[in-house]
Amino acid sequence: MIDDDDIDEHELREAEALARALERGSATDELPDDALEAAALIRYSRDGGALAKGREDVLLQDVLAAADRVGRREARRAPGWRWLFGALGLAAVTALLFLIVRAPEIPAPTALPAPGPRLLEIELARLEDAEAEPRFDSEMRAYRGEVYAALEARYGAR
Amino acid sequence: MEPDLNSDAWLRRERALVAGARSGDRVAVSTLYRTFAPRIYARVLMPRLGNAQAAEDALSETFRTALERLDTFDDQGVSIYFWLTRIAVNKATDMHRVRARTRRALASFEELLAPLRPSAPRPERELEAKEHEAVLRDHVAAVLDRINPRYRQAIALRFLDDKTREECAEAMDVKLGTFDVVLLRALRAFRREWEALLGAGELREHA
Repeated sequence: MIDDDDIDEHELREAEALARALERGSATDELPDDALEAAALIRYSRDGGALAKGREDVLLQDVLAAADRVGRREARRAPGWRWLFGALGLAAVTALLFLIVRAPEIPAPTALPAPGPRLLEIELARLEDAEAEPRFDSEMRAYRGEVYAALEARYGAR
Repeated sequence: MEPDLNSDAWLRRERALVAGARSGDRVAVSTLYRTFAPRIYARVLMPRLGNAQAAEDALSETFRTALERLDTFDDQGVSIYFWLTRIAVNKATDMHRVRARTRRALASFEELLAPLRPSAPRPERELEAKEHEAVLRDHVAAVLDRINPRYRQAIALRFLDDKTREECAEAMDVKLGTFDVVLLRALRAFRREWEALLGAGELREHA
């Protein structure tokens, strides 16, 4: 029990310091640590020291600001290899474009003259008659001449 | 729901989150923070600081420092939680070191809690900390039952019913200054009884 007459000055100062610490969280030289620790333990027992959701969100913003600083620092560290790969990629694209522009035009396939029915008839005839051979040679020379003429017209004379 | 920090599934996920956080990925940082901040606050910082404002500052500092030093973190097969815990303990110690300058009312009741905790804390035991909240409440109630009823009333009004000093003084029909002294004596009585009971092992068996 407590008797008002029983209170000495030192205890009164301690009690005031404790009241201030519990209300405002500020400490003075007279603050009785033993009592404050007991008070903190009892308060803690109510909710296990739960972090209020609202405060958790506020502190997260603080932490995210630090994360942004880390992100910027990492981005500054990266340019060495990023620039190297970027430059190599640009060079490769430029070289490819240069080759495409400078490459000689590939000519379209040349349409060669088809052998005429007369040449085919003589070719069939010479299978049965050796006499037809000179005529076949003659027709073949003529056809060969048409083919060479077509090739020369497309690619020019050698 | 707290993840099982020792499970392979969580560790795989955590590794991906840590890799993201290293490059400043905000989603990864948010996920790590949401997972670990509440438990570091409740289980590490509040018992060492006993001051919500100081514990919040220390929590924020813990994550900022962790992000700055994430390059040096090597998981070695265990959750980053234990690395964060070490940083948080150092932050709390730093705050006590500069207490005289900051004039903050810090109260570490870690020693008072110690008898309720496992004698050899291990990661898998850490996960059971939730159980200790209920055990702690039971022990506080048991100790309150053993102290002077007037002291019990002062503590209950101020800390369990969350009344102002003025309301408490009025409820107890004393002057404000007298209530402050009653509360001081009540807390000292509570502490003596707590230490006597837990020191004697009378309540430890419930932990």
